[in-house]
Amino acid sequence: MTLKSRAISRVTMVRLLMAQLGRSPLLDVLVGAAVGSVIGLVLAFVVHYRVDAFTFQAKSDFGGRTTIDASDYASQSNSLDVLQVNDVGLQRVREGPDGEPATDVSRTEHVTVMVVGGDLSELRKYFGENVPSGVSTGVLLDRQSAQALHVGKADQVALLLGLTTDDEVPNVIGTIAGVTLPYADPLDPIAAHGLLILRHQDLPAGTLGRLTETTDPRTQGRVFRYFTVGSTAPNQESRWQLAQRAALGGEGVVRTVLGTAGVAAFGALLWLAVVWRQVRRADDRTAQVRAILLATGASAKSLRSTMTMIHATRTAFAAFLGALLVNAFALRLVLGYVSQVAVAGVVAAYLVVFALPMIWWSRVRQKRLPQRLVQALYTTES
Amino acid sequence: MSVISMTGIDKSYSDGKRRYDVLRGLDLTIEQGQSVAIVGPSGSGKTSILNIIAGLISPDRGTVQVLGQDNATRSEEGLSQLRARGIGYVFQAFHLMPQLSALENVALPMRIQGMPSSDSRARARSLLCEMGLADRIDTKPPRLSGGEQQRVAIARALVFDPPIILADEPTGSLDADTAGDVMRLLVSSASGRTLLLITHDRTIAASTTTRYALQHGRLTDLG
Repeated sequence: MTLKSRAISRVTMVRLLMAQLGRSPLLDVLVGAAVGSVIGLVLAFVVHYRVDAFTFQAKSDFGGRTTIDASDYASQSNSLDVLQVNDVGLQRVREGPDGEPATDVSRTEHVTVMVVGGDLSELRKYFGENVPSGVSTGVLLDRQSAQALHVGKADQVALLLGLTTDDEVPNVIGTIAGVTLPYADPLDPIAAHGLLILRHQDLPAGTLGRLTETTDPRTQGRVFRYFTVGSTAPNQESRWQLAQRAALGGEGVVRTVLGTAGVAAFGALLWLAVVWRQVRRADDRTAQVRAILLATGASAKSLRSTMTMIHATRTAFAAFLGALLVNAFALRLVLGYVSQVAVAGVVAAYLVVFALPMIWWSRVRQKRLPQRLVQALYTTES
Repeated sequence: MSVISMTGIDKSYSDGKRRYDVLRGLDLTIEQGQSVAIVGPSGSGKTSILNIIAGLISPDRGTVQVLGQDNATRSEEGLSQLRARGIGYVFQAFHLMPQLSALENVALPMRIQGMPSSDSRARARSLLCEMGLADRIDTKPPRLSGGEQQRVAIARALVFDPPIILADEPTGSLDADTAGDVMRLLVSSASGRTLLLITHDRTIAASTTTRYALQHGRLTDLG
């Protein structure tokens, strides 16, 4: 058979099969896209919240202020206000060729930012003489120094201290070792007395409590959660290294992984069921036409591949449309700094990958059960 | 020279609870140009014989030779080619595509084989004229009578001038007068070819030169 003949044959088959399917492929695409986008959005939400949980290991209301009990971290508890600010972050700054800082937002590191009220000198009780005293002065401590400050295995601790209650908090309050710290407290911008930045998972139990214990009891410490873009500290781990290390420990990490995997698995099952139903229905609806084509000389292999093509195209459209919906509805606010396009791509790939078993199943079924197809010749349905 | 040779054919079906043996050691040989009818009640396995010959289903046991080659040795593609060019299949239910015109229905097997539209339409037109349907060429099956639909189906079976015609209850959906017309047309169209006709109606079977009865999975010669 020449290429042209094959094309004529395939087009004829597609035309007949599609005519038999009527509007159902369009409906299947719409239903598939709706279900797929819901799965994708739920997945995105869960990943988002679980990653947040991993970062902070404490549930907080999105975009608002909640209070968590410091007893989570210390035996002597103090009430801490938690403000989640997603659109304010710590950005990695690299020195550009002209010596000016050039922002690189390609890497993100989750850190916990604590704003501690009270007399800064109190902090020295805990952080020793490494705590600088000048206004807008900061230090970036390495692992060793961080450990000396009783913050466990932290790789870096940035202390930015010296603001007083009378100081106006600028958007950027200082630069420490190449790290620019955009900062804004939309609710109470002058409440900051000091700013301690460290990765939350590195925060040893009790540290937060001890810190707040030493501060003026009338002043509450505030914990801000930022998405940051790393730092240029020499001992900075790569994001991959951080992920690896994080994956090895931490209750929040386990919850994150389990939560994400659970939702992904459930979504996959749901999606498989949807695709299975659509594939089976399309196979059933076209059974008689395929049987007639087979009996009149159509190649069984070509028929199978034509059906596979129809299933795959329809599912791909559904996945693509579903991903577009996720992209449209997954607001930046929800997804943080993760690229919406990347999320949509992942969702589309996820939907396509989990549709493949059903498409393959249809192909195998067509091949292994020819009797079922032949039976369609003797049904009364036309 | 035998065109169809079936030897020791067993075929059974199962509905999950029970197994039904429809063919038990069936033997059948049909020579070139012979017209044969197999008569039997519904469910006796008549259709299975046609489907096995066409390679649509496989026997559980036994050998089937069609046009000099064992079907078991044919590839999937080889069986498709056998059905395309070696066998013309006529069904009781016509199995025409309702969305296609009579002409397009007849041209369908040729289009499936990749023939250009002009060639396939010309051949289909010629066959439909032979079937007396020149004025119904552009009519779609739902607007054709049962007899007309079956004539379109016969034309479709003849497009590649196949040496074998398999007809499965071709008059089963027609009234007696129309059935007679269709049978005459089928037999005349099959002239020079091998015709294997499946029917439960012995008067229809009388149109053929050789008749068998299918009973208990085996054929009995009716003369």
